[in-house]
Amino acid sequence: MAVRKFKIFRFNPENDSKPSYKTYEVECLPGWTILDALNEIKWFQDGTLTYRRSCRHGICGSCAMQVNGLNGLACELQLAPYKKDPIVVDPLPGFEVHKDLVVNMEPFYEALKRVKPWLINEDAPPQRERYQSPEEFLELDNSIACILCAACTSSCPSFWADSNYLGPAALLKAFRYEFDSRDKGFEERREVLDNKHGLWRCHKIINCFHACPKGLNPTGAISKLQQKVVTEKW
Amino acid sequence: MRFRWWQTGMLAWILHRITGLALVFYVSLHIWVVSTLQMGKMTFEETMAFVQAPFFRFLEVGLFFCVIYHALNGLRIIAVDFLGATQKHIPIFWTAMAIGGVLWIWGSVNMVGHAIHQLSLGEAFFPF
Repeated sequence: MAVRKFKIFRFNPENDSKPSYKTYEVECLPGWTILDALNEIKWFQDGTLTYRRSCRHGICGSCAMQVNGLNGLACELQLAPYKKDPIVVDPLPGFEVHKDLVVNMEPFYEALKRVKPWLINEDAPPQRERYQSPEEFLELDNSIACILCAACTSSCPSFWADSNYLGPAALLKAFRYEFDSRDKGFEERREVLDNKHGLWRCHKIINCFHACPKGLNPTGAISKLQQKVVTEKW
Repeated sequence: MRFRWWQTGMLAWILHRITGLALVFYVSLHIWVVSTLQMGKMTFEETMAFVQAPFFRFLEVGLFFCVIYHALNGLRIIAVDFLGATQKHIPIFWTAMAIGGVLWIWGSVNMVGHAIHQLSLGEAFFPF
């Protein structure tokens, strides 16, 4: 048992004119994550604290937030590596705050829809399946593992500056289909990708790669897409 | 906004922007200085004498930093883009900075040495 301090971003647009921070002291057990501490606060200290959470297994992507200035999933971030108190918890940057740690994710989903994140292939389906070899699957570089938590997009300064920018998550999704051996949707996606609010807004700051709780590489995916767009054009 | 901006990627990007803008400014100035050739040998030599004063030698130390930084970080970005070096971008950055640092110190010692030599010959620090 150790008492840890948490400085948490609080903002209720119905009552507050501007955001503030509130500090909580929590008795934490070894092995706790940030989410465990937030639950302890909400359940036993202050029921008004608002945040999203669901699976606590790092697979639903609900509890992405900023802890000590870096984005991650609250359910995956262990307390032990944070040696200093207080641990500062903020909502994901770059999005409008609905309440406390809950942000408006609509722009994120809108960007995602723009890249048409589904298989585009007008060919008649074969009798059994649209076959993909293990080697072709490896080309996707595990990008199918994205859980859409928005930790990457929200860590991107280009996204902070340009809310129309697709952002690393949507571009990773575009990569996932563009480099799928069964997909033939390049012409349909080209316009939204080859655009100043698309691929070319990426300045290779590489925050997205470090923010991704699944260890994916949106920066690498963007580079490959940029090369594909340029090679197809010239 | 409390985002940790002092991460390698963020620092590299911010410095790349600043040095890039500084280089645009320098190149414009450089073109203007060279363009004085159109106004004859005398004007050109007067301008050159002006920009070769010790004060400008010290500014050149900063210019040299911008050139080295922008070039080496540019190579790092090329490595990230074309060699898939995203995972290794941090060690690449600091290796590039170590090489750049050595080059910069070596060059700066020469430039400052030259300025000190000029000052010892009685040249004014500021040309204006």
